[in-house]
Amino acid sequence: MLTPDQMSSEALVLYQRLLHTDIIANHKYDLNSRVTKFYDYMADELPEELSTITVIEDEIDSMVEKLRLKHLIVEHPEAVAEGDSVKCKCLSDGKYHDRPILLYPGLELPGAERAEKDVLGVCVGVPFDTEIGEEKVKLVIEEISRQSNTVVNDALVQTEGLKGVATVEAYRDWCRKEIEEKKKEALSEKIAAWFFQNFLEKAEIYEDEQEKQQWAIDRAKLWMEMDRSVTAEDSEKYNAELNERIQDNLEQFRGYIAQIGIANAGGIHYGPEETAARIVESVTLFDIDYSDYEGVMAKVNMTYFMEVVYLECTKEILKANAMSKLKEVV
Amino acid sequence: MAYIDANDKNFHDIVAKGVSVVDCYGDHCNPCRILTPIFEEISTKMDYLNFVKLNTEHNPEITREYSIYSIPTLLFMRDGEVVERTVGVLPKEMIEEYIAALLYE
Amino acid sequence: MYDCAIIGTGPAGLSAAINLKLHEKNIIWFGSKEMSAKVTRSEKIANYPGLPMMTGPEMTSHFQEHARRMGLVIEDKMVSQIMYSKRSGFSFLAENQMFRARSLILAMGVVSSQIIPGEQELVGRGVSYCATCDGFLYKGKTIAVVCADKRFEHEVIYLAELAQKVYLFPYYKDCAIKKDNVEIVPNKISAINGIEKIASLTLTSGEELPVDALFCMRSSIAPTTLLPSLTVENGLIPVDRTMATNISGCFACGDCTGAPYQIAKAVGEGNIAAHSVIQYLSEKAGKKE
Repeated sequence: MLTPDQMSSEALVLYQRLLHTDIIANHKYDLNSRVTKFYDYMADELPEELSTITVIEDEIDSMVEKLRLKHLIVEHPEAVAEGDSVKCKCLSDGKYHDRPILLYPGLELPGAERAEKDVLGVCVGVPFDTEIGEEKVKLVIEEISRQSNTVVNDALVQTEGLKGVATVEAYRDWCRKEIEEKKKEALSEKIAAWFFQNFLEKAEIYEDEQEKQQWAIDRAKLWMEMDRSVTAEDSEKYNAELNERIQDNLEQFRGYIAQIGIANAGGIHYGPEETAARIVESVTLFDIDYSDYEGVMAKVNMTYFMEVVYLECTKEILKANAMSKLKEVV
Repeated sequence: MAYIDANDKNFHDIVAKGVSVVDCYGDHCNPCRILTPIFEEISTKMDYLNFVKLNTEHNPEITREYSIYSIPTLLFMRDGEVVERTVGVLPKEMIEEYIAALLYE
Repeated sequence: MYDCAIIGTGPAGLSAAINLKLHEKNIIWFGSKEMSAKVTRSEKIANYPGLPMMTGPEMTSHFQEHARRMGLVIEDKMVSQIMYSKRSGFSFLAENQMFRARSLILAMGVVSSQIIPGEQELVGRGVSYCATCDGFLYKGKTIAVVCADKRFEHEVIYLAELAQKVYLFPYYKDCAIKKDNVEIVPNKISAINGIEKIASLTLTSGEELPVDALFCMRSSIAPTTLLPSLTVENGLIPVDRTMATNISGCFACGDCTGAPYQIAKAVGEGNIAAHSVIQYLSEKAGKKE
């Protein structure tokens, strides 16, 4: 997070001003509602699908193949073999006359199946008869191009200059680790979600009824404001919708408190300083004029702000913990 | 062999002659990442064709000129003219079929 | 390359998977570990032979147990695109991975007719299903987003960071997006207009909204979008007695083929589809030799 000593002088002015704004200074940062008994989600044993990373040989093979492709050299042989690229000229009249004809024997491209067979073994400069599409043609090869038969061996692997990798075996191990790392990263997101679910179920959380009600109402109003479908003019419909949202929100309050609990345990706590700094940070990020104090304040809604910041940092903490848990078990 | 990275400035010159297959992609696009190795594999096998990659995020002019509204888009071109275009990931064989249609029809 | 891919983990998909597994076919099965929400939600199932008066959750747990005992694995991934060519068979795109199979069984149930008139025609011409792919192409533009589920909200936020203006059509309650350039529109879209490229949207209110793009974020994709060459009539896939569709090697079973929308019927059709696949595979293998 941005700290005051990292701020430009203009940013600092905004920061100081924000600190003393009613809505930021007077917000109740420490709720009565809190996690009363922290649940040690890290102690849970990961289920199998969240603790196994399998790298299959195919995945390694394809990385090795990539290395091979990187080192291919092109040759121009005299006679055609399967796998070559062949550039021909059409000698006969008809729709292909004077058009360069390219053949790729072995690919069985529609329209050239016959020609791909007929061209095998033919030498450069020697005319031959075949068919393209439905048409009989006389072709002559101008050039053949062939990839050298590059083999991945120890010497090739060494040209990569990877530390401690001198053999093909070692390169395969290195590939395995690379793939594993990528998969771990992906898995850690799933584990983080699983951690949170467990925490939510098993931690003891005190919910202050008054705070809960207020939060549910504030949050419902916030979303009603954004959703234009029901306007306050239609008061009956508006109230019905509002009440429904409040009911939904009441159920979500526990999750919100759980997030604060996890963030606090990770050493993160939002007070007025952090809040002001965070707002300055986003002003910087979105390139808004620092002097536009009114504009900035118009966008600040503490219910929304608190929810977002705690959601974000909880996610980060859980993911980092998931990664270290993965290191233990895999 | 292999492919050429094109940009707004050199694109027209690259595709001016012969058969070209253009992979219009973006850095943030997951399906593009799947198409890339398929495209690269074909490009190493088929010489004498222009395999071209165009990053749509860095080259807005060509992206606009060729009306690319979704990525990955593949353009199949002959002598600078777009003959066929596809949107989304295609398996290797289908890309080869589109190329064959350009070559032999 | 798999022998067969099955899309859907409802009764029809399960029945097809069991039968293919019994015949030792190498299959890939896309769906959800919860199997079928529709079955689970059923209060009482009274007409399934041999299992009288089951509740939905009981039935689901029986299904799950059967799948487990057979060693069937469900790929909990959303298939976003299917491609078919005679030479290469079926290729699937599912959450950043490509899979291939020789044959295909569609058992995805009824996808509520959420498709908007004009949508199909303008795919790739301003209608997009992938925010991360195409978002950048609309930097600084005016776009609309249909968001069918809360879990796509982060994609909407991503789009809002790029676009100048976003008209958001949330098709669920409690949309939690608050951004200056995002306007939540209370109406629904009744048509997408444009010829070469998307031009505007017609709303249910009759209002016309000019846009440069429409992003559709939905959890299920209509069969015709998934596999454009598939024949679909009124949202249902026409099949013959062997459950064959108009595409060779592609079979359909269960609710997606039409009424009666019953578990017993779906299971029967899944069984037929599996046997048709076995027949199809052996014919194909025969031709090669």
